[in-house]
Amino acid sequence: MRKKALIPLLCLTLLAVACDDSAYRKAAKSAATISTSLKAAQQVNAQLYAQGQLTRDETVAVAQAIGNASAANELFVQRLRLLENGKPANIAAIVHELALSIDGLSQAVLHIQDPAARQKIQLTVATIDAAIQLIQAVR
Amino acid sequence: MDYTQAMILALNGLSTALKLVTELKGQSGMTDDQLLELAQKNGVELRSDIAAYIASLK
Repeated sequence: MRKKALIPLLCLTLLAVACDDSAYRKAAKSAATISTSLKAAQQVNAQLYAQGQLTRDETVAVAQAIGNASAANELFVQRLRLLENGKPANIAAIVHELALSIDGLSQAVLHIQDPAARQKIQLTVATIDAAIQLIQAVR
Repeated sequence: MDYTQAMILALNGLSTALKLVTELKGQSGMTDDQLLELAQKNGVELRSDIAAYIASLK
């Protein structure tokens, strides 16, 4: 219950620090937020496995999905650098692949059997989802 | 799950959330270039961490 209350807190913080920014800045902030959140998600993943709350297969699947999302975020950063103060429409076009890789991470998390462990990783994934929505909302 | 376990999980979740909020607030003072460099640096570190983690499980 308390963790459910934390998800809006994280999302609101993200929106608060990103409001009134240009499209390019929102995208740069989102990329940094996603990378920080992915690192946190992997730390939680390893911690839950060490505590016996995840099986070996689950922790490997989540780690690989985090790695895929991170690779997509790095590609997003590279493309963003090429745009340099690009138009919002160009930014929106390069977000698509990133959004797909984050969906893959959400799917991997949904397969976790232990509800408490699943909820804990979902907490960090919620921040990533909010960052993606922020870039997708760029007009 | 007993009350103590539930409390430990809730506090762990709170600590993760607060750590993230602190890091996100810290990022708001960075320039666009610094944000992108941070994202790339985190990505490189994470890739290496995940490779080592998966190798450690084999």
